[in-house]
Amino acid sequence: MRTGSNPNKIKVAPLPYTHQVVIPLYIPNHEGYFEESFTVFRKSFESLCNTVHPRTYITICENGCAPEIREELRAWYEAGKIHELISSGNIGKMNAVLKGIAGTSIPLITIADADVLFQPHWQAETVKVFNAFPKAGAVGLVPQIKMWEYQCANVILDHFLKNQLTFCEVDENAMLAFYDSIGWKRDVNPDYFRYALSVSNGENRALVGCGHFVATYRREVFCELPRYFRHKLGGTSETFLDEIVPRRGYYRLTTVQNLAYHIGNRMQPWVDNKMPPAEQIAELELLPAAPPNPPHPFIKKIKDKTYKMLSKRCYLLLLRRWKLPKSIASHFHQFKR
Amino acid sequence: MRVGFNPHKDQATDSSAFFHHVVIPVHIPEHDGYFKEAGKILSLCIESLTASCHTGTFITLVNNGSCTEVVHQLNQWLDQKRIHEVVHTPKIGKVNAVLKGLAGHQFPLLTVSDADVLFCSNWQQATYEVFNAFPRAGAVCTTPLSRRLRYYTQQMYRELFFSKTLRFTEVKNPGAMKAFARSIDDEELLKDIHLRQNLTVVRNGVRAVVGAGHFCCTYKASVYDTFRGNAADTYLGGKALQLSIDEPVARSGYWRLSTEDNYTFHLGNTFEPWMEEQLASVKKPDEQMLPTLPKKPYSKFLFWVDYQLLPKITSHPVLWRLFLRWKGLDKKSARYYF
Repeated sequence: MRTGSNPNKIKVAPLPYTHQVVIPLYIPNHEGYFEESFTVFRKSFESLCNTVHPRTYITICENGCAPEIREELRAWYEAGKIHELISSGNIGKMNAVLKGIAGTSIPLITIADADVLFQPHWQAETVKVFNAFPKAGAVGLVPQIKMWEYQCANVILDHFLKNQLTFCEVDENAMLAFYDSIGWKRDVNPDYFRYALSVSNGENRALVGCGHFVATYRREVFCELPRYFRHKLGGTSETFLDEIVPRRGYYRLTTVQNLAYHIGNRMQPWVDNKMPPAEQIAELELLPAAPPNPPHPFIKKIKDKTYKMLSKRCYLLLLRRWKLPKSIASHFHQFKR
Repeated sequence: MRVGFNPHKDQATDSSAFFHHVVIPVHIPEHDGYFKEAGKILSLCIESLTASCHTGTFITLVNNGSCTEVVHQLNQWLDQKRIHEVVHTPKIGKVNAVLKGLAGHQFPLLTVSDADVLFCSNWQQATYEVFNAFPRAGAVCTTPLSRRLRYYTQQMYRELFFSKTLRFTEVKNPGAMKAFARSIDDEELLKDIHLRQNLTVVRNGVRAVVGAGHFCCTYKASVYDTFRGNAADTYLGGKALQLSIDEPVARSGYWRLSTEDNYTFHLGNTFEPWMEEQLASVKKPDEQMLPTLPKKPYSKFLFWVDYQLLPKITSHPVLWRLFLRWKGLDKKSARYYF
């Protein structure tokens, strides 16, 4: 029988956080592929704790971890190091992310893999990009090669006539470091590591395109969510984060600086060198986003097709217009070196 | 650096073993005042659920802002494999907790229950019977309440206005209905007529009560295939629950029904001895088959007709009384039925 009334019957105050970090974690054992995974994750988590401001809400979605890892995560939760802990079966990475995103209303959400080494001021730099480009929906931290060629037709076509797109030089070493970390051979055109397409609003500059291994999204992007994904990893689930942003009418951008490193599933000798020191981080205020303006699917299709045709037929012209030096532009279309 | 391939890349998730998802949000911030016996009630709830559910049931508990003892308790249940998933969050409100629970799973049936519910034997079987008999059923509650016949039910009235299957009939278990009114500390809720007559619909020999509450209700999970990422106003009851949980059912054109007999008890926040007796009688059911859950066409226009236009007509007291009498209620009772 009920006596008295629930003190929360009327209203629950919104959470006092401004930035959510969602990390899906899957380390079922300590063998083979996963041998060093938890050591890597510990480093990643340490770098995260050292670089975030106090109003950051950390969610770990553990989807099928070994018991000792589960115990450690619970200890973190009870110590208040993380604010949300989801313990589930092996439901897959994106399903775990969905659980993390659902039900909260924090304005920024960073979705990161468990093997990211964060660098100082990544939050502030991300917020700067969001503030400079009100239509930014996703901001990545790691420049990657040829990012602008995927799901970026809206950024490129919107800024095409205004002459705000230029190629700029980027940190070659960081780019190579990421490329190596995913285990690919260095047989692609070396110029890809030196130049990337950027967009500027006069004062601030950001790279066009965005990877999804660590990126920050506006809440507006996730106003409607699917209930589940059918694949554990890869499949349709992986492209969801990329496609949803332009579908809602927002841009995918990346900071010009490299603000995170990808460790991979093996411990690396440079990790301790690059570990950011613990310090007090001030929070930068986030300006409101441009109102969501999802393009009609037909218009979006036309835009995508137009861009595709442009980049196919007049690739060289585009590159020249975007101020890529002539000597480089002439063989920029060659993927292999 | 990445060495080797993640063995799970590009695999489809397998959920063959489970098909019924039960999500229970838990909010016990302290063991004092209103929540003094909440821990005990929660144990009763989980004991009865695990004792009465079939092996294809996947249980998620969402702790939103509970105290450390409750956190430990949930973790322990997870380690004992009595439940399958635990989410710990700060206080985000009941609806948000439910959304966290249901996200990421592809089970075709979803039960959303409060943490103060006692499940009886065969509650799932009874629910599945209703789903099997009524292809339009979208939400099935296991505690019938005769007064709930106006909450998102107008679609049924349009479709079954001339049908003889929709009639007032005798209440099967008035004792349980009374127990529910007592559990919410509102005995005035039900008058004598409510304990005698309720509006039911019959199909293929299965009778179901019109209307479903949401303290323990089983849904066709496909209505949440795209859901609002967050309930902006995090109220405990009321509007957020209505918009996020109940309205999607109506928008998909499904009916809200209750089983004719009572299969769940609402416990409230105070322990009483009968609860333990009830728990002792709970039996494990046999293997269950997934009921057929057909998709039915429904349009935005019909939604507008059923839930914007029709309520304007049925809310007129005279017309509503006429309708109740048309469906078999006597003149005197129709005046104050609801």
